[in-house]
Amino acid sequence: MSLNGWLQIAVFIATVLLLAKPMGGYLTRVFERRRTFLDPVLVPCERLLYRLTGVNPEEEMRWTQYAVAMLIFSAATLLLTYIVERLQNLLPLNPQHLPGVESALALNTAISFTTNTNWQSYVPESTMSYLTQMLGLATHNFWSAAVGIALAIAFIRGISRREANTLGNFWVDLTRATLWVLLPISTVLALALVSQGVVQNLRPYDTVKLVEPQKVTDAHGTVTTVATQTIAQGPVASQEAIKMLGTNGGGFFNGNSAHPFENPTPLSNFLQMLAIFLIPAGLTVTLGQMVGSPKHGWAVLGAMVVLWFAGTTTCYWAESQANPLMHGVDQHVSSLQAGGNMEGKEVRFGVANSALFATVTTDASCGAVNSAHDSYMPLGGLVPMANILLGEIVFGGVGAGMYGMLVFVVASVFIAGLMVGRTPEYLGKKIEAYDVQMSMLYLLIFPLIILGFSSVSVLMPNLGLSSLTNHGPHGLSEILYAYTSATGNNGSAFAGLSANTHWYNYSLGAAMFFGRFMMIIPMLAVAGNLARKKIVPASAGTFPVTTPLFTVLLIGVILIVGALTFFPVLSLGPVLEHLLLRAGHAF
Amino acid sequence: MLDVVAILSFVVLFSLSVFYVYGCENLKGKRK
Repeated sequence: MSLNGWLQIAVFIATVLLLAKPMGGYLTRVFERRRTFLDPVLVPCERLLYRLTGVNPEEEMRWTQYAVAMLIFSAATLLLTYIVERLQNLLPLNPQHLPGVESALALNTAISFTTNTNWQSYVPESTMSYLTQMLGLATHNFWSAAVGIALAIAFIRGISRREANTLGNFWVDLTRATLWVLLPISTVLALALVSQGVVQNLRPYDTVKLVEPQKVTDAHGTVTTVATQTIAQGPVASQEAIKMLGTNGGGFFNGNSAHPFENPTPLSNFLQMLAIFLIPAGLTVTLGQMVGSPKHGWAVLGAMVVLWFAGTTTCYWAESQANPLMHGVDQHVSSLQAGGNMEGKEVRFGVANSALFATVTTDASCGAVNSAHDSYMPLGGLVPMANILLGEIVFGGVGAGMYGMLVFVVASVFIAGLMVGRTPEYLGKKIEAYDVQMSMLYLLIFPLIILGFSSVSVLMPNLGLSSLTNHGPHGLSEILYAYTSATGNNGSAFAGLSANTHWYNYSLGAAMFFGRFMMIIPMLAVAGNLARKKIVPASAGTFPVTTPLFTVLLIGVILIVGALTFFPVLSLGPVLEHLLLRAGHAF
Repeated sequence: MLDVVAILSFVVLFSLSVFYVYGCENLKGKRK
């Protein structure tokens, strides 16, 4: 670890915290339909959209109506993406003449982008046409993020409203999240990325002559000389901006944010990480403002910062260690090299910005990567996995992180109530059996999907092990990471697992679907139930949710739930791999 | 053929999700 690295990490989190309040204040204004500086341009667009779609913006929805509207929207957009993928060979903007996407892969990808996961079982530049990238995938980057924000706002309304049967209007929240929040910020970010060298065009791919032609031997022993290289192009900057801002993470290129056309400079890297945390950090302030307790928002943000710091420190420390099996290789920090474990990392980012990026992208449900998580030291790779296993509530995905964290808040308040022997209250709302049942459903579905699918993959060699390239604890980590990433709607991957098989395409598709919708619905049920309740005045027995004690309790509940659920499997994966590496074994 | 299976899967999964919504809502009613 170096002072330079720590300074960069400090500047990053300081910038996030500085932007949290203005971002949160803006989000509050947008969703309380107060005036903003963009209204003169966007209000006419909004009205036109409602007129064209027949939406009555004044109509309020019960939680069940809100959930069904969200499902209808997701189903329609999922089908659109599937059709575009399958028919891309017949559609325009396909200068490379790529064929239609194979059915299982198209299904997996459509679910992946609809659920904000952006798991990619394919090489984008050789599989997806420009039209598919823009109409099928980039649009979902906006829509799935807007759905997440809308759901978080609905949950916050559930807490703030008194004796109300409704949570707002899904279509209005979706429209305002897209027009007022995602479109303007991603436009500015796209221009900033173009200024750094991120490409933005619709040209056919370039073919260039190699300075040194290479001799390549194929599997049959035939030697061919490669004298040219194809350099992929495309409308990258516009997709890159919403990929990060919407915590989507699906790369335009296979190299994702390690590709120099997606993330060319340290500044573009900084902006991309900032974009991931911008809205989730702002939503904590929005929470405080909308429920009338700004300190509560800060208490939640405090818990997120502590967990982020613990993850970043562990990952940075682990990656700064020399690999004990690399004998005779200088792995020390010096003016000429970053030192530590540089396998799978870009030299222009080094260890600090790779470890920070890996932590940030898995704290949130982004899944973009600027280094190979599979090449991390075992404990370094444990951090991204653990971040997702905790539920991605450390800042979290846009909206998804906030409502996930609020479910943990309900669980924390319930536990605090049990400890003091009183009916638990959360901001004046009594937490009753139904709220706890739905919260537990939310918390239990997650490990059930991850551990269930991982177990089947490990126990059925023909299904899960045939496309695995590493064995031992590292192989287990690769399978576990895949289902963790899919269920958590993260989308990042450990390499080493070829997931473009029928088993993985269908099972990961199912994990993404259940991990998104089966968790959203009980969360909305809690919100709908909270909205109906009266506010009871605070008394001497009320557990305050604005103090450092609450922050500590919240962190404790998050860690205990995560640790107790996943420690056994983590001990067989990365922890065992770490111990065996120290004993001289690599996998 | 696989397209039909995929589209049927969408329909079944989203239909089940709608049942799940009302199942969660009804759970509250039965508990009261």
